[in-house]
Amino acid sequence: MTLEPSRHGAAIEANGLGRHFANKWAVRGLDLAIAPGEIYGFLGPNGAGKTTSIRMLAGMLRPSEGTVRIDGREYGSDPAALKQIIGLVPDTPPLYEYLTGRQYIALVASMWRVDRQTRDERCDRLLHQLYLNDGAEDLCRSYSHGTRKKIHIAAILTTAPRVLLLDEPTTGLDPRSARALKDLMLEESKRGTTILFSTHVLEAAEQICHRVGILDRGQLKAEGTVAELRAQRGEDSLEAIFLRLTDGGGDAARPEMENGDGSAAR
Amino acid sequence: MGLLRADLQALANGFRTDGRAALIGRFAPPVVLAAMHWMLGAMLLQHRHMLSLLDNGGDPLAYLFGHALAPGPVVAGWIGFALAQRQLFEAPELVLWQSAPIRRGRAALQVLLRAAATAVLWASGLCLPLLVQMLLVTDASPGAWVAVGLAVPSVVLPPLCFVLALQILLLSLARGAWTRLVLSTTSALAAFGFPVFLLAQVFFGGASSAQEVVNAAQRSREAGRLTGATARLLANAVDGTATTAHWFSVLAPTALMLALILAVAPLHAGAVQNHELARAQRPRRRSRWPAGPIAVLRRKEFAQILQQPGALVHMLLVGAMVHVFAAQGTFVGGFLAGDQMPPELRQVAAMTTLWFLAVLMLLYTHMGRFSAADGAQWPLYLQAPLQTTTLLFAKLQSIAVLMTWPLLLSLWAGVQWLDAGMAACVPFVLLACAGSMIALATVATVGTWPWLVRPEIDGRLSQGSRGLVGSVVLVFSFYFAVSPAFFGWIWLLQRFHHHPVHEVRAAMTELWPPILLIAFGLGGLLMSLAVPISRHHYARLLAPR
Repeated sequence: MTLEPSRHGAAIEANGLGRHFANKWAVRGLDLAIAPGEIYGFLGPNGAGKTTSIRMLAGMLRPSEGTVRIDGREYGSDPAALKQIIGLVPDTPPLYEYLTGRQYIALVASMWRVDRQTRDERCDRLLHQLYLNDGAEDLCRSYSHGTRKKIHIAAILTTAPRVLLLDEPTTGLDPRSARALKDLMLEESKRGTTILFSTHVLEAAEQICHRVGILDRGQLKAEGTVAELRAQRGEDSLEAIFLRLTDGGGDAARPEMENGDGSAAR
Repeated sequence: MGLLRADLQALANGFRTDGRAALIGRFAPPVVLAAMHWMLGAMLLQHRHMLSLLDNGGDPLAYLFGHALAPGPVVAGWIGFALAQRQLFEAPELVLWQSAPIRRGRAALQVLLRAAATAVLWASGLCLPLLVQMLLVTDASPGAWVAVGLAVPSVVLPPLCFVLALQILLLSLARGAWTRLVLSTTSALAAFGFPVFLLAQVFFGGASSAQEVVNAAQRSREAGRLTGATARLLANAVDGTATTAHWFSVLAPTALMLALILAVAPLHAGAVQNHELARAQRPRRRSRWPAGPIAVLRRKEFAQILQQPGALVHMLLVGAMVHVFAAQGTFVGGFLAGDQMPPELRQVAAMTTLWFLAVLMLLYTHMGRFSAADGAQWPLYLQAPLQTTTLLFAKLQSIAVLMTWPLLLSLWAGVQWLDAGMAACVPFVLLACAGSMIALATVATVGTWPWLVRPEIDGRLSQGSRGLVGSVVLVFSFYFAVSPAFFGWIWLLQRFHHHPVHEVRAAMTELWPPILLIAFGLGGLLMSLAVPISRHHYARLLAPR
């Protein structure tokens, strides 16, 4: 499963991207070029800088150095125009506790200016595909972590983004929902949506990603298709490659990767 | 590490660089209140009869000590019903506590310890300034200084233990959705009542209540039931005549209530389960929401009020308070008394005062609607392809609609209780409309101020220690913005002093148009300033960090 990335015409492009908090770099010198319709898996241990990178790509965090281009355009004087084509699914879904799931989806769709009929059609289809039909009229505060995540995914997909950024989207999902999400991502990719998603589930990355990038201590250690990485590194599995590149360390082994505010930069 | 040690360690960690903001957030509000209450206490003690009352001792002195201690049980009620209730039944640590091999009821006692520490801190901020000044004035004996150290916990702990035990018992014995609803309603009541109490202390305490306090003390009125024993102990300790019986009368209720909570604590685990099971899963009707962002954001604000018991109760409580104020003549009696002014003018003044009080009770919540209340959802706003003005105008529109609630309440109260007719209602509605513009301009400017709401690294907005500062800035800004109305009323009283009523009525016919023109002019001016300021604030809040 390969798509030829080309820096010209890349849907997501980062050049020398870096961000520091206080005196510590969470991400540094990150170069990415993800082609339209490509699914790119962002792998890395906890505290590697994945979330920080995604926030910079989504225009929520200003890079300390480097540039971001989405669909060939930089966040400039009109960031709203660029955000129109981007959908972000953060690790913690920002739901309103006292809105129902369907009301929340309506709110998100309105922010992306989706008309009512399109919204309702997409919403019904996505709720069905993500097994959310039964709980859509309940208040969000009653949802489990997985359901909250699915509601936000449904809300973002209702806006039909051309670039989809997902931060650990499968965390907390049951196997059936995780499968449904993977199918949805493949479906979106076929429609031309560019997807970057961070995950710790290497199997999921192997199954659906055209290419993967392994980030460690804020720097991209390796990038390519899974087959290419296997051939380059002489390892049988993605897990073995991951462990070798990331030196078997976690947060404890990399205190320098903590954010300035004390939170871990992922 | 035990639970207590873990909490103390967490507190100590606050002294680290990255924890100082949270620590300041915890301690700054009571310290600010203590400073304000020191000033209020000093003003109260300046009353000409106060010195003799303090010197004479006896029942009047006990009453005064009781007055100083009165905030203690109020704080206990607020903490017990609002904060401790959430800790008892919804704290994130409950999962750990309940799965850990610790003694039954230990979790409830940990909540009590946390609540007691917080309540004593807040109550000390509210009670100690006046108590200490009284002891200084009376040249109290060393025993009184020992007693004052015990005074605040002794008025806080018994009601707090009782409130916690009551909630655990209620959910243990009467499980079900109704019990949960009753508890969430009392929580909303407490959360609403405490800021109102603080506002009343600031606006109607100090010198303005001194005469009332002196009169009650001179009549040797008993101090409140919850503060009486401690007040008597302090009064006797001042001249060194406190007996064992006095000490016993203070310590016995505390010990009794501690025994009660110890007895009830083992029921806590079952009560938590009942609380969870009682979560009502009422199926809601599928609503057809519009598609335009402004219309949906507006609708979202209303849905959040109607679907959130606490928010709805808050709105209804404001209605109840306006009803009580109007029915009993509280705060408006002065306007209605006398016959110098025509009745319709006095009614307008009374209704405007009711409107002012109702707005004051809602203003801080409205301020939150601009940004702080959406703090957890701010990443969504950051990421949405919306222009700043779209978001701002949606918020302005929804708050403008919600501003009609105080207007309608005051109008209804005027017609129902003050016998207001058309001659009073029409000018009042127009004045209140202009006033609503002023209120809207104030909340828009203060509520979006980036200095008061701090964007976090993950995009969320948090208030930290600035919540109290924000509320103080908001209230005084609004007070200042509507102050021309107060000066206008005083000018009218002086202008028509000794004029017959029919002359005043005739003159008012000519005066209303310029008065209303000035009111709307001021409202329009402030709105025209508030819109660009709040748009600038919003752009800063929505910019990537």
